[in-house]
Amino acid sequence: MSKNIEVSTNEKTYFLEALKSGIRLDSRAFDEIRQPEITLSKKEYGYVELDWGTTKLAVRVSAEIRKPYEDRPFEGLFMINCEISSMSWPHFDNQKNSNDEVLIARIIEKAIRRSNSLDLESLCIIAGEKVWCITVDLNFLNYDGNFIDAGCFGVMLALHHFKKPDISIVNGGEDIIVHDVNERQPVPLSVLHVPVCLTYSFYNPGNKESNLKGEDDDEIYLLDANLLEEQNREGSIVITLNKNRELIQLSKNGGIPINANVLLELSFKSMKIVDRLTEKIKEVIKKHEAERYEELNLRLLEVGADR
Amino acid sequence: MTFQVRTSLLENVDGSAELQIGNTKVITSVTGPIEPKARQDLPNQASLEIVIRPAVDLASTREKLLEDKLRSLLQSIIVRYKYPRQLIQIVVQFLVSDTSSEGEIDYTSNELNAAINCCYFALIDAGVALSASFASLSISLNDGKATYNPSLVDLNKSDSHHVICFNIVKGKADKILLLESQGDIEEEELFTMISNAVSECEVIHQQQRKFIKEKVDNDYVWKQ
Repeated sequence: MSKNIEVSTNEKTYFLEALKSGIRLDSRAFDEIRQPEITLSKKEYGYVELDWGTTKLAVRVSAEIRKPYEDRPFEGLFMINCEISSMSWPHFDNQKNSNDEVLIARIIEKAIRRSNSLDLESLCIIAGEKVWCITVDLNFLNYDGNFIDAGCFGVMLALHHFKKPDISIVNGGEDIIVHDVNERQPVPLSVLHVPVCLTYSFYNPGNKESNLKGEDDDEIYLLDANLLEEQNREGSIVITLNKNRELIQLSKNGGIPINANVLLELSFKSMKIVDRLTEKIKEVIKKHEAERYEELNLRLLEVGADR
Repeated sequence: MTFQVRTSLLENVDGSAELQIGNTKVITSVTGPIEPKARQDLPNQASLEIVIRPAVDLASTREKLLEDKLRSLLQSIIVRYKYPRQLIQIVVQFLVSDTSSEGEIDYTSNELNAAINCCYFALIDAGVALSASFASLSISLNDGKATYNPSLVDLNKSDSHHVICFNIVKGKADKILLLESQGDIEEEELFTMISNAVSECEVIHQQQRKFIKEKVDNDYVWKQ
């Protein structure tokens, strides 16, 4: 295997010709995402393995108690570690971050952390003294395109799956006791909204000139590109939305120009997929919670009547 | 000892293996031989790039130390002169590992043990030439009583803990490739432990062989 990333001319032409006839090489529709396959850890809280087609990743959420920043005494800390190793693709360098890697990390960070999807004030234990620090470790294992969408989905899933240990404050706020997860039921994080990233890749089947002049809009848009599709694309846009119909981020870094109408159209199209993915997170987590509840026989511990 | 292992699960690398022993789960990828960068280039043998990534947080000096131990072991077992001016890239990613809470001792023995055993399968999957097989074992000693593949609780109670790795030729443990010991131990105790570990590592090797035989049978299922 080599680190070489070039695609042969034959492969490229074949792929583009197929696109022109409306066919994707993995027989998906142009606006169809790959089906995520989810494995939630049964033993711990906040460990998720996700297969997004053949893109594979593992996400882990962990919590520890720290001192908050001095200028934000009421807010907890939230970090997303997203370093890409050469395990996912030998082209990625282990020592220095390439532009692609930085871009992937920034976009995921912007979508989740800077959109305030995690309620930081709820992580406060004692103002100015002790807060929870939530760290998300995003490990990419296999690269088959679209780390952004898969990464964002994986992080949101893990945040839903995670529960931090219960605490009690004693001695009038001097000491805190962190209760073991086996001693007291841990508490889930308060997630305010679920941002979903969707990446569209552009291809221009016609000539460059007419595209620049905006004469014809025959550009092709592919949702959730795989590795081959990503290597051949002429531009891309990341649209981040949530279920509340809020637009969180639009990120288009260069590439061929696109029509404003297309942008609107893509955003509208995305809504359905966003709803579906959000629903999927809720559904999987609900099922998982029910299984855990059964396993621990928590029903036996319940006091009082169902209301 | 029981372990679960899967191989060839990553597409973009030459070899990969996922191994679970006790409470430790690790995935390893091997890429190579590939073209090295100019500074990694060695004129008459292959150079190794070993990266270890922890389950929680980013790599620190702790992982660098593990990398160093793993490198010293793999350097002696990979037939490096077969790949002059080439690079073999090994990435070890821990997925699940015991995390000690604040104030407790941070043990690395189980992780090192899992990494070594996982590398064996990944290297075989990648088809990298090895001069011999190898199997490693994590041991904790408490009042002279040995526990193999100790849990975090066992480690906390133990007087000393060790990782031992043998190279295995024709099903028999031959040489000690690595011995990492920490804690209080008498010389005599150490020697008994090592001689007991020999048979234990040979048992592990039998399991390794069994798995590899099945794997090869499956890989060449199309061959008459």
